[in-house]
Amino acid sequence: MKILLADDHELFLKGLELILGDLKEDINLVFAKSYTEIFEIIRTQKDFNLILTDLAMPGAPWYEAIPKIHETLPDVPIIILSAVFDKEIVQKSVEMGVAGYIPKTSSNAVIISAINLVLSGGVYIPPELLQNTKKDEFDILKQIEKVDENNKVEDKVKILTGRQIEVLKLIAKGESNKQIAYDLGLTEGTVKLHVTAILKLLNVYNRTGAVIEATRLGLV
Amino acid sequence: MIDFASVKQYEKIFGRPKMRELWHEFLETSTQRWQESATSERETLRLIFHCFKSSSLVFGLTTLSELCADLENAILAGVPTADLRLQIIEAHAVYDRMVVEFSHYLETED
Repeated sequence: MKILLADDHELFLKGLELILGDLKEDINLVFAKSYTEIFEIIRTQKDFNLILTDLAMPGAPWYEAIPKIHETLPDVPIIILSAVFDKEIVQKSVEMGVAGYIPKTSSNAVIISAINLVLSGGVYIPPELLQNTKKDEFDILKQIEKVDENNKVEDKVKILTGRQIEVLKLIAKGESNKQIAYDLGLTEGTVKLHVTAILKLLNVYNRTGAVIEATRLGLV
Repeated sequence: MIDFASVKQYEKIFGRPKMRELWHEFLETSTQRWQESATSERETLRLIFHCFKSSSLVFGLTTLSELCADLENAILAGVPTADLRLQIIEAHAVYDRMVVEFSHYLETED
């Protein structure tokens, strides 16, 4: 797995390297300390599985840099790890195609879980942000925040929507988020939100786990 | 004086064992940087204090971080580096003192 890791705070970057070392054994990390360095790297290297970046860095304003990165590598999920924790910025970045937004105050366990979720095709939005959003914002994810964690999976899956079952069936066929979006006439961002809800409700950590659990429950 | 609230926050992110690794990394690079600070030209010197400014915060070394921020700003404002020697010596002395204090914290707290 190849991850582009960017932060202008060098010791924080080193700390992230240590955390990500726990994620997988065969991990190839490429480092950048500015947006300028990111642009240079992605000009020649396209084979990243993930980009994990700080938001405010030298080289460009984030609202110009993030779309540029997404445009250059549209299939590579981007996670922002930032000390800035503002609802509008989180929303704006998700609209720009960001797949995850992790506050820098998060524990290493949360950081790893969020990365795993995004690598499975989901979206990570901090729960505390979801609790304070208005009705129409991140509605799909708010659905799962209401679920009692202690409930059995059999009970939790009852709140899966018809649309989510459709997404689940297409995941079982091995389709990517992009293919699912095309098949169902949705945006890729919406599919990512549905995938996040599915993983959470089935209490699994990746798409393979979702398919196994869905098969066991007779959903696909 | 160490800002333990800040230390705890970073410990939550990295965990105590990795904080130790980061601390050793910090000590190694710092030794090299203090040596370089005696002879470096302006931009290298600015980068040295820029890095110290952020790295020291991970370990709650706020006084050191503030002194390094002042030094970086002075360099950016065009103050001749020769005029900053006393400030650099003061920052180094604070660093030495805080290293002892934080090392003691890492050895004793768990």
